[in-house]
Amino acid sequence: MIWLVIAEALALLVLGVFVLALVHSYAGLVAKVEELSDSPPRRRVASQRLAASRPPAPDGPVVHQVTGVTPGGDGVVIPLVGVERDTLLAFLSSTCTSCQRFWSELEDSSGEVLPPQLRLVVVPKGPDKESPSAILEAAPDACDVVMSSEAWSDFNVPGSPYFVLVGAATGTVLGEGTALTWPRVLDLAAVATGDDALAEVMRHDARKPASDLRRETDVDRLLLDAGIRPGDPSLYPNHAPGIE
Amino acid sequence: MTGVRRLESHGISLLVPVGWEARFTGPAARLDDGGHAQPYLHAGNFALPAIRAPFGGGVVGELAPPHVFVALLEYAPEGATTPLFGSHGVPVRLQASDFSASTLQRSLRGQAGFQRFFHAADRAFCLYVVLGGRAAYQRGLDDVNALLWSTRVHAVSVTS
Repeated sequence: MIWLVIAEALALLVLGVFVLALVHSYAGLVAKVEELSDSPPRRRVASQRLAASRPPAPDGPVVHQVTGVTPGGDGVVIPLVGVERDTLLAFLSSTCTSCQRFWSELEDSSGEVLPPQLRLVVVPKGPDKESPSAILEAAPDACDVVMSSEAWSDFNVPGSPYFVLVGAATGTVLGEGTALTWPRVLDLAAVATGDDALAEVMRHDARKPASDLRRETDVDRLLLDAGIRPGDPSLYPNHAPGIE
Repeated sequence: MTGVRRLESHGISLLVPVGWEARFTGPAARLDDGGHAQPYLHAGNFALPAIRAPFGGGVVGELAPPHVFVALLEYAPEGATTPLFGSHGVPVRLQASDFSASTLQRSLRGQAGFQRFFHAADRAFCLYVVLGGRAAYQRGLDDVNALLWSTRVHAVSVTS
């Protein structure tokens, strides 16, 4: 019996040593990565996550504007430098499968997928390479959409979906990359800017999809048309008079 | 500067100053003054709201002192030969003395406006500029003049 106890103790000891060795090894790797980097560790990991297929070009030219046309064909220029808010450019297309979720979430949220401290501009390719009618159908009215093949070229966009976060004051690219959902895009933006408040806003923002809001409005209207107002006893059957 | 390209739409092209937003809007039903509506351009050194009346309703009420709003509105081409649109060419080199609070469509504290009807390339236009306050007179006016100086109006063909 005592031998069994001793054997278990030894096994636990060996396991503990193994775990400690693994943790030490990982810590050493992280330290090495940090040592090689000039930027704060968190931002370096963020840029690595954000740069999907290529590293960011910190010394690249500043893009001052996005120039293109609306899906309706009207010319538009959106400034990126010397503005009040950082701009998140979302390079989407009407045909890529991964983009469909972004379009449908834009529709559900009436275009409000980001907190107010960020400006969202959706940038499909120009009418020479993308269908304006398909974009018109996919994009909610409240969304800023600029169809611009030149912008794809200016930012060296490798494909869609792709996101570029541009700093408001100087137009510097703060981060870029790809993601599968809007909340994930916001998480990456928060890490790129070091602004944890951005990610917190989305995590705590219990915004309902537009479709839910429409259903609620329709139900409210039906009830009012039937003469049932807020507080009507018929809405609370367990507390209606005569029912115990 | 990377990304700075001429904005072209409806036979009008211009360079938009850095930090400015500009949007063309296709033909609307009617202008605020009852004129026949054609496409119009709005530009400003701030984010333009989505809903805007042709002469700036929905915009000018929200202007801060450094803000400048520009509206270039086209009228029916037959107006180009009338005395109202007698001035030729896009107005350029605007000065502070050209602006007045009495020119505003709606009088708002601290704001001043400029308005001129003109013709170019056989087309009739109205230029309406609003300065949000004293802070807009220096930098804002320089940007307005750069925008106007770069504006080119092309004749449009009449389709039968």
